[in-house]
Amino acid sequence: MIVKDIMPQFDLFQPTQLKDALSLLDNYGKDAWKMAGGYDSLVWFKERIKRPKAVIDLSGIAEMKGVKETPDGVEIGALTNLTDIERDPVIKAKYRLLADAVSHVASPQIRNAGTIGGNASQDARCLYYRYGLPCYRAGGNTCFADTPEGINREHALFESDRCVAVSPSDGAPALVALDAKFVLKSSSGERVIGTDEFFIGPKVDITHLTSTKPEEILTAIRLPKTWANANFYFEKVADRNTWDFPLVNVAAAMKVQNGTIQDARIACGGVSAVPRRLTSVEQIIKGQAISENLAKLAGQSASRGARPLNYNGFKIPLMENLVMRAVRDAKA
Amino acid sequence: MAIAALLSKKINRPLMHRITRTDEYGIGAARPGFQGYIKMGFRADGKLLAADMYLVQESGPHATAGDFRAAGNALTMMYQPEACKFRSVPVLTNTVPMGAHRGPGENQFAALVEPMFDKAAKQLNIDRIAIRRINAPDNNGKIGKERGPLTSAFQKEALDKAAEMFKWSDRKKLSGQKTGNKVIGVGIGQGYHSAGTNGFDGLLRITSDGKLHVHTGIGNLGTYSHSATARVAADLLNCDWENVVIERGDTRKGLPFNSPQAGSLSASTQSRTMYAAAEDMKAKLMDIAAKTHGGQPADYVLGKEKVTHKSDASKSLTFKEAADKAIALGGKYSGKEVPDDLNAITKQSVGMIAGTGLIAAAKDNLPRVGVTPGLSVSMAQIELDTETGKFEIKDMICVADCGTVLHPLGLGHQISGGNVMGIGMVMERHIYDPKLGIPASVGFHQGKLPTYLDVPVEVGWAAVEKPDPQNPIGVKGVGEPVLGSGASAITSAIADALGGHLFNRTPVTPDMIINHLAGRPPAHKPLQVNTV
Repeated sequence: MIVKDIMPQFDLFQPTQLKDALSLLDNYGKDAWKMAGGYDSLVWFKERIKRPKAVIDLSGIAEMKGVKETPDGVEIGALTNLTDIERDPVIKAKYRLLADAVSHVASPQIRNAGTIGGNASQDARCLYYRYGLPCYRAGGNTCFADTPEGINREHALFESDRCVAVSPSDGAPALVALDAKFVLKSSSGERVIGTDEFFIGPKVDITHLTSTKPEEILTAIRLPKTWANANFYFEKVADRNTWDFPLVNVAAAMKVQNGTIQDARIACGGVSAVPRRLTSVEQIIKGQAISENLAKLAGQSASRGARPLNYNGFKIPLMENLVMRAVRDAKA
Repeated sequence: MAIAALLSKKINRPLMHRITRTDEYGIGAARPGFQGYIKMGFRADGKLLAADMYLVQESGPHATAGDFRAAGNALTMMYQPEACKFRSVPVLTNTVPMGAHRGPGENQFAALVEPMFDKAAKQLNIDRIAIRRINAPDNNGKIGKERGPLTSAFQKEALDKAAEMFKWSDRKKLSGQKTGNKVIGVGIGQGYHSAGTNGFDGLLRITSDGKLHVHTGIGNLGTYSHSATARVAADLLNCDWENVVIERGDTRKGLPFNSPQAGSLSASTQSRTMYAAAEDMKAKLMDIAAKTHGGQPADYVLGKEKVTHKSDASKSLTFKEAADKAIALGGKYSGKEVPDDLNAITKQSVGMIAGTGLIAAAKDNLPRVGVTPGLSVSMAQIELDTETGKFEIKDMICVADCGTVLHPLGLGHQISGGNVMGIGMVMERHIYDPKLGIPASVGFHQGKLPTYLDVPVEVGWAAVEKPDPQNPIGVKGVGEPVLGSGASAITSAIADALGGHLFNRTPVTPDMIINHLAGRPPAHKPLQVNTV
């Protein structure tokens, strides 16, 4: 029996400047592991499944921490911990959706150390992948979850392509609903991308859930003014009320005038490899007065195209109900 | 534990045996699941006339769990059917090893069968307390196919007290009330586990500083039962708790052969052994007093840490003086001689402390006829969200039939903790890939223990407080039954909230509830023990 609770050896680097961290990435390339709060990383290491040559601990880089207002909205340092985001006065006042979402992540202790960048970038929780089996996501050539007897209660309803793992993040759907932009830096420059480009499914890259390149660091997340002070709704359903990943979650931002929805962005987590933006629902509700019937219609539309596996069919009514509630109950 | 002990012995040094949750699935033991069929026939007033149960148990590779058998006994005990048929087939399975977990068999049984009594009550149009009360065991209750006796059973009283505490007559009116997407369910659960045995040894010592040393082999699972039961000796010997020294946790201190801290045995069993040793100590104190001051031992009475002549208060002997005298007298007083009926372990331990004071060592030879049942009743009110399948436990109480309350705070913790474990039994999933043989509940993420946010702020508790006549102190154990009553109160409340729908299983997770509410078939298949 393999003892799986002792980390393998690696070189640990603790840069305090972003440029030094980027330089280390250039040196080590794919052999480097970028670590923020460590709550995903350390489990991988202790399980001896991920064995990087070098670990770049980013937590000492002060320039990647904090929330600041900008002419276009706010910029959140990727290393800002989730508790700080939950309590930040600007986030609470203007982007309450994100504060709500991160307040549902894991447990208070984990939120004190877990970062928004890490939360958005966290890896899949598929039990087979986490068990260290050679599945597609781990670089192998099979999926152990999508089989007649595979344990796939927590897996994807949509856009599966060989791998059926889902995005387990609570923060990510809120970032999609708020139309966040992701600032990725490397020693050769910077790129700023939207959520549709940042979060990627297995069709794009089956071994990653984000498009961050090995030589890049996610340094900040920007929230545009567009969705500040909108009506918001976040809800997460998990087996347990704390320290758990979502079975399904929903995040909605809606601009409402005189009871009519002018514009909306809605996303669900736990149903596909990316936080799934529900564009068809958005189209249906735009220009419509909020009502029970509209909410029901929105819910029913949310699950269109779902392809349940053996054990995750319950996610269809759950997703429908959560979207219905989001449309019905979103508050300013 | 055996591996650590053997390795430590081999290297003659202390050793820490550290295993992961994954390792535990190889060398530990999981609670076995069983599938079952039960048919029950009731009289119009709710009396269970006949029950027929058939269980098939997943026994793992080593056939090390007798849960199925305990479930059958629980059926005969908890409901006292007039006729009963019980068969079971334990099956060797290519799964992780199985073993006894808290309330093995009885607690799985309770969580499944208690809601069926609600179904029967509904069909018979009688109260849910009433149907349990008419079937509950009393002091004339019987157990097993031999219909053996019970030392005591006050389950009817427990039901009455719980009903009063929970305000059942008001509370049941809330059943099924809907507010938006929330529906209220109220549930009743009962738990049973045999909770006491006998035949172990007590060992006490009074040293020259006047201290009473209670030597105890009872371990500590966090319940501090070693102290709670030691108080029996202190009380019987009229000794201030401050003057008591508990010798425990290290065989070098001279520890007697005692009950294992398992099977809800400690409180009842160890209180008996303490009683036996305290009686021996009392007799020896009076013997020494008579030898010192004249007269017969019966002329002396026990006072505050001393014995005094009944008619001449000037003739007394303090604990300190008695210890010195005992050392001088030797023989049975100083532990140089021991009763033949003591276990070899106790004899060896007495030998280790002989000559260091006045020593009392006695085997519990007190009579005990029948099974000593620990019993409990839990009641819960939940609020179930029909759109998410989640439920919140709004209120929960538990009343234990545990005889004399030995240590109120300790009992309160046992009851609350056991009920939380029961909540865990309902909520916690057991994930196992049958094809690959992967036990997947290897971390706190997959093995979802209840947390503060999953349980009620407080679990109210009380005891029936009727002493067991076959324990000299009146004590019965209660550790395990409260898990079963807690779990079954929740399964009963879920069924109540869903208009009587029975899942007939544990755990009951949100996916099962939402599938039911959405009119979808359950995801788990028949005869599928583990969850998905």
